[in-house]
Amino acid sequence: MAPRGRDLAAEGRVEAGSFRDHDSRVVVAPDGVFRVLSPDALDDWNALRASRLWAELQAEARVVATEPAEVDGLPDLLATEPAGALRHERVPFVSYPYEWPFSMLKDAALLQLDLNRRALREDLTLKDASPYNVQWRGAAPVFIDVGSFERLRPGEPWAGYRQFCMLYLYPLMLQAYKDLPYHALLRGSLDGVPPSHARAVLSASGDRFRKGVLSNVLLHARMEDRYADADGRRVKSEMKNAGFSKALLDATLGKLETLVRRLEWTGGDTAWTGYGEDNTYDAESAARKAAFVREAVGRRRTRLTWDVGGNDGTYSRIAAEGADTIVALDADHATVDGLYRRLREERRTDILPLVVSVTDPSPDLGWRGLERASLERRGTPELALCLAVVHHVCITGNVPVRELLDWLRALDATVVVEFPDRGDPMVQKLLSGKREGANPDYEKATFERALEERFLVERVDAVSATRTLYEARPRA
Amino acid sequence: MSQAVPQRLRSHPGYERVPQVLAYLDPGTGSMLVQLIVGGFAAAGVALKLYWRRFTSLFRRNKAELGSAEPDQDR
Repeated sequence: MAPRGRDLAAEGRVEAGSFRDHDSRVVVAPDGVFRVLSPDALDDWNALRASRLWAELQAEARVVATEPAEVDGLPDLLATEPAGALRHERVPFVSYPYEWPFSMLKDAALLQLDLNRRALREDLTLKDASPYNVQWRGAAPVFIDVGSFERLRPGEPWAGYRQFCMLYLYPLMLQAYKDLPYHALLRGSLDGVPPSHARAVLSASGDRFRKGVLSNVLLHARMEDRYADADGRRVKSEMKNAGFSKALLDATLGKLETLVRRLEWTGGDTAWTGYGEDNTYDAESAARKAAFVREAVGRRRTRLTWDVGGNDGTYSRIAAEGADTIVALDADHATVDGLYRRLREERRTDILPLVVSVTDPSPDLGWRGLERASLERRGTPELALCLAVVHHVCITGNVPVRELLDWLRALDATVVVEFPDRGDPMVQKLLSGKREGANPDYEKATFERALEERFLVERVDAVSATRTLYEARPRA
Repeated sequence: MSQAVPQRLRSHPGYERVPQVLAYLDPGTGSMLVQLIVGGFAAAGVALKLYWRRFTSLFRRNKAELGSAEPDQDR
């Protein structure tokens, strides 16, 4: 608990992404994450805290650990006088739905629905349905927006249904039914996919009878067009008078739960999903590579390690021997989804797998470009593994070798980086579609010179005839 | 006509009980109504009642669309 008498207004930094709900606002202070509550929100919190559900959710770690905070100086952030504050546990690394593979978005959706159904039993509900309220401890989802719980107003339909469709259901449907990755859509619009856009993709005769499409997409889009000018408050009141009830709200949530559970996407056999087993390594080189990484990992324990191009997670698992949290970044959706499903089975809470391309990483987004932070603004690692990735970035992504190393240097982390030279079979393959002499800077000598300029190279091991590993520390 | 709608609104038994605490999120009128379909069998009764009331209102008052906004409303 925060010491009494502290002034959150002076010490805290307002979390820019927390402005939408005018009843609560998040402030990040050196010793924790605080949520400032309006009088209404404080009443909602007290109702939640008094419920059996709250104790259950804290015990299950499904909702972020939270306690009332004794804070004297409450910052003036709300439209009303601040009435109280909560203190939340920090999540190890913030991630966003446009970085999650299908199974993560699906599990987050199921958590959202489960929390709402359980809340109903205690005459509580959730005021919204945003995946941005879900974060991860490795492969375990945790709901972070305690301010989202509110006392149920009987007779009202679910306020979050539209948001649930736009940010959870449609993205999952587009991936499951049409093999259309949702990441670019969610990154392109923080509000998600509107019903009319989902209809544009799912209205063909072959799709309209797929589970959930007719009601949640086609009729939803039609109703939205038809009642665009209607008075929402009046419709709400008419629905209430016609007998819309808690049982009905639960039926709606239950139907969606069944629907989401049935949505499946396996991703097929992409070029990467078999990479761990079927790469260009022989057993001896792979063992040397693992030993090299293990030595770097064992040097000192880190709070955060990145595994750039994490693939099937082989080296993330080694990194986990010496890190609290590993963020495994890979651009291949199917591979990341497969890794997540394995980590979930093993109940790992230390490795967070994300769909991120290093050549096109998540930028600053939303209101004033501050609502959702770029990947690097959310925390840089103390150790970065860049194994079997430099050639993809520099040849496929055409990033000059020196600029890749500039980026690595800017992370200010110890790096373990692998350089496959031009004779490497994978490098040959990547160059095969290009004209002769393409990417002339992709040479071992160029790479090593650029590395030395920016880092102190501490260890080198030529693990195979064409691949060399370096462990390097940033130069001051 | 211009007075008819507010009067009819007020005549709804629940009119005065419309909660003035509004959600920060606009649930969307179409999105509220479609829940009467998504809710499946359980919701069908409520949907029928809603539309029945609307149907019978045709005989009570001037024809009006469900929840339609009239120019005299506060917008």
